[in-house]
Amino acid sequence: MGTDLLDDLCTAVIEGDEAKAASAAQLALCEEIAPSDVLAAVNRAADEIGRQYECGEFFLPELFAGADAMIKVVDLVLPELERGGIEPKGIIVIGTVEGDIHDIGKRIVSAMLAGAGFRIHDLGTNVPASKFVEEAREVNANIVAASACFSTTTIRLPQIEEALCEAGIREKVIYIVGGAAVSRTMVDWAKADGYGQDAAEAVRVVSSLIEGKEHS
Amino acid sequence: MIAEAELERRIQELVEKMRDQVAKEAMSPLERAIKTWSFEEPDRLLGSFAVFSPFCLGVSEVSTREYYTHPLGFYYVQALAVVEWGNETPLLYGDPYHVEIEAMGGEVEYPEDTQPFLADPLLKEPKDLLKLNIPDPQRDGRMPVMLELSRLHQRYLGDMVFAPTSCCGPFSLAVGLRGYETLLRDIRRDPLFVHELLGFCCEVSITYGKALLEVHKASPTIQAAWECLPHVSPQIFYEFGLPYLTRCVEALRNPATGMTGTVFYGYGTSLAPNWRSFLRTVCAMGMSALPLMEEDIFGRRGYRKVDLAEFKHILASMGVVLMTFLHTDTIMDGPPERIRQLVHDFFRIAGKGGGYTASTTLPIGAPQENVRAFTDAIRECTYPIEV
Repeated sequence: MGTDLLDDLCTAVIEGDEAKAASAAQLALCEEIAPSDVLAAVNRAADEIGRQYECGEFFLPELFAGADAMIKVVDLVLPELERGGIEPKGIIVIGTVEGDIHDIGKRIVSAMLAGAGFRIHDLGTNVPASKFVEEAREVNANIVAASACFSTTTIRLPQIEEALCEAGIREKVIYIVGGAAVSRTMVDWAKADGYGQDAAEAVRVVSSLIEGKEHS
Repeated sequence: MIAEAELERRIQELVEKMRDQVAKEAMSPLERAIKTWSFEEPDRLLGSFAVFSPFCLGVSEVSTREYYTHPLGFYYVQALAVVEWGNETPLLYGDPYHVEIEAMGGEVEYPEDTQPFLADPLLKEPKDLLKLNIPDPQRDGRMPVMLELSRLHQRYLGDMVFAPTSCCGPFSLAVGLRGYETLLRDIRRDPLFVHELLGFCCEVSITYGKALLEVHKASPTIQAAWECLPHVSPQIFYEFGLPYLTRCVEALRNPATGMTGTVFYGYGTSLAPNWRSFLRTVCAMGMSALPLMEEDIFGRRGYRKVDLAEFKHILASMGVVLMTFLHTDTIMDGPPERIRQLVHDFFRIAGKGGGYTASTTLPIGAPQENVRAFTDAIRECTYPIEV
């Protein structure tokens, strides 16, 4: 029964059916399936969506529909996880830099990271460096993620790193960058710790950086 | 802010310099463009770069805000790009996805150091569509500024250089009005509303496009980035993109020449399950030219690969001019020899028989030697092509 429910949940997320995903998640929690297992099913769906996107079967609309369904489920599961004393894998402050209003990639990255067990604080778009710092302090974040999609706004990326340094929290946080105007070769210039070309890579990079930090 | 009289003086000076340059070449950029669009081989490759605010920040005293809002300031920067930097196809538009929305009452912000952006989607709720009116191109927002740019072009460089105007494609306009994610949700939950919205957007694009056509005497480029893959799936494109774009292309055909405009549908063809068949469907819209990005040729940044020779062959067989665009990473990272090599390679593959132009965009801080390498390479690509 439990496995069937989680399979239904996984399928509903892949199909981007929010209502079906939410009701499957609710049912699973009522059946006392562990919230971490529900989240694992979401993660499985996220992997499948990522795979189908990478092999050209899915396009951005399917990613967004899946992300909407994932967010619905994660919102239901998070309070249960907290009640059970299960810590998130990490706390991420994410936003699009000042002067830039691109939201698409960042929203998908946020949903995928949430599905992978991270707690997300999405600051939205047009976010000044000071706001990244303020929020990172406020929520005790260990990851700050910034996106820039205009070539003119990439100059904000090193400014965020500088603001983190000035606030004395740079050592504490992993700083990753992404967005249409950012390339792998800009990581050093942006003084970042990592770069994700797409949502799937962002999840891999954040997970591995967090793991590295924990073991260092 | 440079005084208007001074801007006029500087533009006039550039025009005279341009006349001298044209006199030394076998063809003017305008003649080159006409040959290229007629699928005949001109003297050499026609080149262009998309000049947006990053360029004026680097090489002129015109601020970004002035560039986007002041016709003379804008035209001065474009003329500078033509005469001093070798751009052969200046643009008579700056931020092509905002003009119509601003004219309908949308709030556009103009930061000092980056591109303008829309503050908020104008259609918070589907019912808000009832409050919108088709804008008057002679009166609303910056539409009169865009019309004035065409008049300035006719006065100054118009007899030597072709410069396109631009209006927004219906789906891209709907994205601007509603927000991308919201529109995707609308497609899932209320497709009838989306069709109603796209019908309205079509009317807006056609009304504005016809005003541009009347002043400029050439069909405007239709901007259609949001209709491209992977922003939409092929299914969404076929139902919500293609029919409305086709309607606009046809409505904006130039009655004097029978020609249509370019459709800036430049991304993601490589992502279609069968790109050749998809491309033929796109071309059947009847546009005069179609861009192809470097990332679709080399499979960069998550794109797959199309075969450039085959791409050109399909376009040429349907009477559509191919415009390749180098990626911003290429023009940023160089080195100049690589840029030069790419321009030459693409020309050798796609240039035969005309119907081909080479372009790039200029990101902020692009090294000047890389920009020069691009424009120098354009001049080296002469017809007939040596095999």
